[in-house]
Amino acid sequence: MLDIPFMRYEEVRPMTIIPVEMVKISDVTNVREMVKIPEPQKDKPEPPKKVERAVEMPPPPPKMASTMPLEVQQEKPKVKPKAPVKRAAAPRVTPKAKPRPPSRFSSDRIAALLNKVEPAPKATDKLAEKYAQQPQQMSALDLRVQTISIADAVRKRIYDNGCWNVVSGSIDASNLKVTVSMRLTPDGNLARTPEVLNSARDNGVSEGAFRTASESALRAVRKCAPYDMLPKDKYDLWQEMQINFDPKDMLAG
Amino acid sequence: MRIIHIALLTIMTFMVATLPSKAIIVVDVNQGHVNPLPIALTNLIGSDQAMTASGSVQQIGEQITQVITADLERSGLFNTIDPRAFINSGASNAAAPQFANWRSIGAQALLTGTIDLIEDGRFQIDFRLWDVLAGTQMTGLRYYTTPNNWRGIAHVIADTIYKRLTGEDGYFDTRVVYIAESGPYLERIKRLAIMDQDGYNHKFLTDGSYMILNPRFSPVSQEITYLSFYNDTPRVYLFNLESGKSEMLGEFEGMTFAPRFSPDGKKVIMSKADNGNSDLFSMELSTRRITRLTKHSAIDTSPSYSPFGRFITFNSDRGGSQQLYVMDNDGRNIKRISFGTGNYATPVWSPRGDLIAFTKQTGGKFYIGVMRPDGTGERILTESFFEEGPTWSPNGRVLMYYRKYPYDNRGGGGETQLWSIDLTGYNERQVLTPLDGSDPAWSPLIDRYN
Repeated sequence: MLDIPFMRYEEVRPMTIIPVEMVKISDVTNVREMVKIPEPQKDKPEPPKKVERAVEMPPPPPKMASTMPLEVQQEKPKVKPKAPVKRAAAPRVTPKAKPRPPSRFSSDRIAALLNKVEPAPKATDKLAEKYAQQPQQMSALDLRVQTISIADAVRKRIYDNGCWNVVSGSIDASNLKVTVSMRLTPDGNLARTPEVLNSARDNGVSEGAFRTASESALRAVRKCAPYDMLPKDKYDLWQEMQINFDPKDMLAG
Repeated sequence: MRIIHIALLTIMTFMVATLPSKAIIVVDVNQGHVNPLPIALTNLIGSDQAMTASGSVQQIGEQITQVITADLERSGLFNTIDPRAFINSGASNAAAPQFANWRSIGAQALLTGTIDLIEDGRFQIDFRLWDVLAGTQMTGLRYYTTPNNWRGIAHVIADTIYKRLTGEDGYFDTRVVYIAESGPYLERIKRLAIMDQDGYNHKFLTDGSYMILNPRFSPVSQEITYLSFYNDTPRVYLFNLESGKSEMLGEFEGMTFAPRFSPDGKKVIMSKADNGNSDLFSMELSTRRITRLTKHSAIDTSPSYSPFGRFITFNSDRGGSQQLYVMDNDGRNIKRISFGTGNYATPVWSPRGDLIAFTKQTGGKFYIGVMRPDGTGERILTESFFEEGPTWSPNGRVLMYYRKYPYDNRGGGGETQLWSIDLTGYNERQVLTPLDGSDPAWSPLIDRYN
């Protein structure tokens, strides 16, 4: 019963869900830190404030914020420092987003609670070490963050450069969702002909209208190439992307 | 609870560990632009030596491209690139364009083609439409036509391009009948006239000795109905454009007006006034059998069928003011659909069925607007001192109507003009006519193959 709603939620907003989970994991690591160095807690008072601010500030990129802490955690195990370190690390990873707050906030709080408990330090120590030794998991989280910013960059490029000329006026116009798959070379050029993955039948629209919409989507993908603004060192992430062109919001009403 | 927690944790861990590394980045793009598509239209290449009555083949090739350019430009959906920006001439492009050169001037589509005079005295016209960014041919067709029909073939090519790039039928190879008006205010001469949708091939169909009103095109053939005051009696007539013959649709008691064809062209629906009351009737053209559709003390008029003939929209003052109604084609289930302020009139069902266009009058102004057949989504497209009588392009994307300017105190003003606007409400253009024009009616696409 519980699993099902969870999975659904994940489908709709995968980003938000994962951050939550991560927070829990981070709690574990925090506990360990806390145990080792109780002093930092005194220092921590500052961070929570910032966190709170941040929580209010970022209404648009809450997901970013929540994911950020995860990265911080990666670094934690090595350095072992507390909150401050996290803050420093966070900004590095995510360009502008100030994403640190929410997750830290929660993790800190939870950490505090756990602190009082304190009993399971050794067990958590082991856990933390395990996590530290498994950079893959951490990088997986990092991927999430990168994924968001790469998707944002592509979306922004397509909008700012006016690459997507929406077919308007068709009777089916608002139901013409087109999914395009594109593969890129390391310098951001199209590595092969972009492909449309869905069909008129998926949308319940006429073939003619769908063909027009898919050609408009393909033109957009081509016109915006090369995607040279994407981080070169993350090529493995964006070498293949899927773009959903959906004019519903534009043409409704 | 504990078990559940463990289960959840397991799932979370699983997701965290597996999802990110395998997932392809998915980008949702929900905002684009609605800009005209940049298209380069090169001249059709023909021989300079070969001559026809209308000029050299090369000249006609250029003129055809000009007509196509004007059609596409006027639709508002295309931005035709100035030929002076072209890096290549049409000649070097007919078969295999150098796409990089077209890409560099911002073209996304490209038209190339040739025109030849063949042995039987006809033109052979080949053209290709290219997707410049993909570097592929989108369509390629060959047409044959007599030299004097070059304008028609230009519209056909423009329609082909329009359809290929927008996914909808075009409307360039169409005609418009309207009432040409001339003379002073009190002695207005009204003649029936017809022209191509772009204003060319203009012809008067009546001599102006009697008044003509409400011309309407059959949706399936080159036939029109209209209201004529021949012998000072208003009657509905049927006029065949190909044979040039007109016939009266029977004798009625009282006045008949506002005729309009059914979608299959087999019936005419109209209103008939008797003793100050007016109701709706339909007439089967083959048998001249008349069926009464409404019976009400109010004035019912301006009936128009839905595209499949199942419903009829009309206007009536049965609710106290002039409003729009929809009913079944047998007169049952009458439902009011307009509820805004002011009066609504001349409803016309779109050929694609999604909208009803109307004239609205409120606050001393007139408006042309559209609403869904259930009355929702009312949208005003244009407003002025006086405008009325919308007629749909056959693809249901553009409306033509007429607009009257007020007379000024120096004896000027009072012009009556035809205008068109597309459903976006942004692309409004005057349709040029030699005299003043009113009450336009748009033809279906011309059938060139029969």
